[in-house]
Amino acid sequence: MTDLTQDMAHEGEAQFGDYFALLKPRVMTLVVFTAFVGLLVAPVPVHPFIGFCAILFIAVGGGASGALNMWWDADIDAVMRRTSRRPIPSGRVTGSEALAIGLTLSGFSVVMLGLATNWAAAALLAFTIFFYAVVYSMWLKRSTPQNIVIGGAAGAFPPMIGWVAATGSISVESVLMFALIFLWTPPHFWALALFMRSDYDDAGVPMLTVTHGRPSTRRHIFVYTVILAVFAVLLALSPISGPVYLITAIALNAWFVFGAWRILRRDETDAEGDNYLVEKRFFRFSLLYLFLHFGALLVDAALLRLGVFA
Amino acid sequence: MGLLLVLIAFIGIVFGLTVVKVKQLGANQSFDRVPTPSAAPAEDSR
Repeated sequence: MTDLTQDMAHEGEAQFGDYFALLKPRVMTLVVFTAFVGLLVAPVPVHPFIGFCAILFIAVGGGASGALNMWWDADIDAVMRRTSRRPIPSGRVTGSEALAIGLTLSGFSVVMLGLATNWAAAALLAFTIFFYAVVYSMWLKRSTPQNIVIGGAAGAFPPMIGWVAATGSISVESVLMFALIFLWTPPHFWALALFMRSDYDDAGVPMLTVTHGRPSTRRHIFVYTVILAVFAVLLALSPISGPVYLITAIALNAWFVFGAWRILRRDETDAEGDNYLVEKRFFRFSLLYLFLHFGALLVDAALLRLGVFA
Repeated sequence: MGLLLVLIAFIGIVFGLTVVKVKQLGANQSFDRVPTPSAAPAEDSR
């Protein structure tokens, strides 16, 4: 009887985990890690506790924008298989609750980041939340196949915010880190769109696969991956990079371009034959790709501080 | 329970931030009712 009561409560009432899921914890790991790297590669040392708080508030701000995105996109999330189990479409959290949480945490994270570090970083976090929730979610996502290309800027801001939290200003290095994520986003999401098949069609989201077709999406993935690879390797010449980054970038980008080439050479018959194995591998590798690039920047910064390159 | 932990963590963070920020201000010596010779401006040596 007790178990039954608990089960019913679990199904009907929102648990803490459901509210936490509104903050898109998986996306948050990327936000946390890239912001952490941006903070640590900056030439101005930050007190460890202030650094911890900065990363925490950047993560909360990213989570708040995720909650606002889920509130706005609840209708299409319910249609898409990938997102149908999210808290709002599954009925565990109401849209108004998500909106309230999103707005509250947005204000909270911006004010706390400003108090903990500086107001330039706080302003950039506020702009990032606005960009993701309003520019991407409310405007671009449903109106243009360039949604991912332009909207990708929202996910690219965290390392720049980390940098600004440490230094107080935007510099070339922070723009380079921004550009790396910005260029990485389109091939990453287009690969997902290829193997999620009808999800975006059903939801009426004008992804490239819907508006331009799958062969065109494959060409776009290849072209954007080549541009990304050239940029990622050239980033090794910047002051925040070192030998570890150079070796990592050459290896990862060679493999990434090869993956994009394989996607380009396939058609839908090939892809359906192996259940989009190549596209799925490319997508999974793209996650590792970004983590390892930023990890290499972190290692180079650590080696530089230890005097290894001096 | 989860919310309680979040609130406790928030209080801890605000407390920690306050301590760190105040410490970063460094030693701040100024005039008060008790004479502090070290805070007095140096006199010209003639």
